[in-house]
Amino acid sequence: MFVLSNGPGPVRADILSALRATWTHLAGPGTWWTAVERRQIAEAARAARLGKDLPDSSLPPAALDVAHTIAARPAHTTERWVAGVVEGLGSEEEYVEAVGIVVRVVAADTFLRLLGHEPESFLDPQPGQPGRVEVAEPRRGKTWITMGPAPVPPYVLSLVPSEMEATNRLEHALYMTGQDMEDPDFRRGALHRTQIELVASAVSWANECFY
Amino acid sequence: MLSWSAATTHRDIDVKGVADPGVDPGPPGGMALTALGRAAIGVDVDASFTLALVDALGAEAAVDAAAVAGAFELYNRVVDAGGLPVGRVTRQTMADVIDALGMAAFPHADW
Repeated sequence: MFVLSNGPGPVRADILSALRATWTHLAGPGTWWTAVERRQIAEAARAARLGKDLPDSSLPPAALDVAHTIAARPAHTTERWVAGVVEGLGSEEEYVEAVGIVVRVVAADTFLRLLGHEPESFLDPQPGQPGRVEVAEPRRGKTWITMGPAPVPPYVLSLVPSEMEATNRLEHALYMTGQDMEDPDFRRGALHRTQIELVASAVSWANECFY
Repeated sequence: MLSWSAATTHRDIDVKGVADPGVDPGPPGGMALTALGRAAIGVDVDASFTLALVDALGAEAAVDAAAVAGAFELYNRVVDAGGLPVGRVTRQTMADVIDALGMAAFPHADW
């Protein structure tokens, strides 16, 4: 899994570890979706991101809408759209878990394609039922979904802690940790922070991400 | 983050280079870095932009830059899925960047 030796250069061990952990986590039952449903969300997101037709699935239409919109048209989300898919799914938690799956698949696929690799095959879904563990005393601020303790990126998926942790773990490996972010002079190997932020800014501009 | 890092570490940056492939943003390999970032969101992206970075900055930096692109494919989607607000003060302090990059036309600019 994630054997990336034939590429433009060596991939750091912490990135490989994070990618493998991401795939293992994806293959297990989640907090609100079964492993089979998680796999279907991942496959739909991959197809949408590549501009392909969504594969057949047993997912509710709202879940397919989340996979397609977040993967292919993320800048076109609206508060009304989020409220609609949450209503269709039945809970904010299901929306948050689906978003977590989508964003990690898109991140991994983009990285592999930039290295000249085909997207990694998904692991077989593991048996088991979703834990359905609710977060105690969730808070709703000036955001479209409930999150805590602050309306900042690391906590967007906090309504489903397992998704928040899995997403932050992958982001920290691919980009940098929260502690590293506080250092304007941070260096990742040969890249200075300013060069890292040039890439980040260009992706964000191309994605029309205002944040 | 780009403007903050550049200003704090006394590096000259032309933010127009983020969006305009004809503008050199300043840092070594800057045009290749931004080209990779812009290309990363495409449906048909391949290794060509990363290989161009190998020539400019070396293999290790090229792979790390590709990883950052992957991270921001994630990051952008997380914030757009959650509806994170951009505060008034941030909008004011970043007004020059917003103008230089045409960000006022972005779908979430009014939120």
